[in-house]
Amino acid sequence: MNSTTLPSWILERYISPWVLPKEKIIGWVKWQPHVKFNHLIIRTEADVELYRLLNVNERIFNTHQPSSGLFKITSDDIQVKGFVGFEACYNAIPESERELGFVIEFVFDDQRREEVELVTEVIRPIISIKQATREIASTKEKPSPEVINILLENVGRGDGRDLSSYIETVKGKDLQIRIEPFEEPYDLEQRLFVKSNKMVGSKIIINGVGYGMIQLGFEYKDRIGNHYKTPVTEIIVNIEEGKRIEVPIRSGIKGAGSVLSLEPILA
Amino acid sequence: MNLAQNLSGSSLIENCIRELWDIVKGLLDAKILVHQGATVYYQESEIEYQMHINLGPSYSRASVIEKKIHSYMLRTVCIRDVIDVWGFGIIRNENLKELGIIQLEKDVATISFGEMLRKVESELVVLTIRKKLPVELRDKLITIHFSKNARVIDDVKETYFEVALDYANLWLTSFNSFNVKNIIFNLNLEIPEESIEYCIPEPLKKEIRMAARAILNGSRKAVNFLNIISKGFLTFEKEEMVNALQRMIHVEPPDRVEIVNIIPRMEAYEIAEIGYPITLPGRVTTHFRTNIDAREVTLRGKIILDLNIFRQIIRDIVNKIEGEARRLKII
Repeated sequence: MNSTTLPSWILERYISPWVLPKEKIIGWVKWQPHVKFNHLIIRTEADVELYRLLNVNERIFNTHQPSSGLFKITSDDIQVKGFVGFEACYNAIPESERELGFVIEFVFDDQRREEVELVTEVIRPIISIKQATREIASTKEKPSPEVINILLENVGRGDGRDLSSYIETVKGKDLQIRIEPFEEPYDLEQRLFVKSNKMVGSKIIINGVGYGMIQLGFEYKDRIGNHYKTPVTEIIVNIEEGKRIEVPIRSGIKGAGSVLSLEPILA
Repeated sequence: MNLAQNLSGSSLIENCIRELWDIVKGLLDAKILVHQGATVYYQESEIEYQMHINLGPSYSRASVIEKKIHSYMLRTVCIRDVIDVWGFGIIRNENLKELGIIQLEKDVATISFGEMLRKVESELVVLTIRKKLPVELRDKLITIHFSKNARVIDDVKETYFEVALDYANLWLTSFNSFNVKNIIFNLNLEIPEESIEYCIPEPLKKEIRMAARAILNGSRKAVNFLNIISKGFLTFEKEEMVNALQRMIHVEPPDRVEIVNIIPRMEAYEIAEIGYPITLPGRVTTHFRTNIDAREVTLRGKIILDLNIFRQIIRDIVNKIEGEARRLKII
């Protein structure tokens, strides 16, 4: 991060150390005001919107596309010598956390160029689903399906919240599978204190007999409301007994990781 | 370059400063404005202009100043959206309001420079006008950012903030001094109920579960026990707790960021399964204040919460609850 060697006349460089996607990023560079250069160029990456320049004449904005990722500012357009800053945001939702770079390049009359690099980190919640084999099975020998525990873990540095489940695809022509909301009181052995004793969750409802598969995924948000989805996990459904099966999905992200219990019951 | 030129093109800005700028320009033209300073109060979105006006000796004013000053300045000038206006002479300490030189009716200030020249014997007058600054204009001039997602490293929760001034040429060339005060950040430490549970030792959790179930059978002792827990946790809101919580908050730079207040708040919870109401520590809201001088242009800082200290505070409360329940032979 910010690994380049700084020219000696640079007094300070700064950028927001970490941000969520679409969160405001502020960065600036201060230099010795007597240093004379022809112009400076602010460069950044795709998906970055540089929507405000600090200490720069407003007309610069009229001649540049904010989304172009490139601003050329002549020395005369700097309002007070020795400082330039910007506000920007990263508009994409990255698949993983990543570094995001900005370069401020000073171009001198003799075409000499000096660069100052600013690097921030775009962080996000990354909730991953662990554990490989999952099956909801109701056979003649063992009609009650076993509990499936899925470990959810936030491996990102952003807080994840408002977790909800969804079924992406259902395979199994003789099975009717859907997700329904449910409400039930908490169990004292699992939790001591709760905001409300009504646990609101969702459950998978399975009707029919047959063999199939569902793809289950989770949606969640970060602290500024960006939406994310986990990769889906496949759950095999093997129903030999023609009864309605309900599979409550007890979910929640607690700390960095959480065990998600799927407790199928014969209704 | 001056205030109006710098900010020209924006009707919002022009409306805000036009009347003031006319006065400043008149005083500058007359060469009697010796100092002008401004302070923006960020939180309130107000701006305070201070002008030092050199009237010179009273005997020479008619021949020196009245010839230089624009005629409209000698009549009464009005400024709208004013919150307060005050002024005094140095060194005779004349109060301009008492002399009827400045007046404030509702939000309109009137200033009579003609009266000032006639009635004030001091050679220097300090005049201060505090007026509303439209939020849109404030945000155009000052940009701040407070991280939306704190970072947790081991047992430390860390967040950061930045303040930067735009139009630095305006502040640095139009005013002899310019400050932004009362930049206030709020930080909410949300206390998940799991973190309270984490601080309760297993034997006490068992007692709570037993009491919860006993309540369903009408046990008075169980009700008393849960009341002791509620009362015990209520001490989290007490004044002395603020000092304890202060120990968990560190700010950087310490000389620039001030903790204005720490407000511990309780939240309503229920005991799982039985739905019995109980109040637990729910959040800690901390207000921080910082100021910035225009010469600095930028300011950045960090706020660090030591979660170990926080857990110790909760454990101390839990220990007291346990002690009290044992003293009353409830557990």
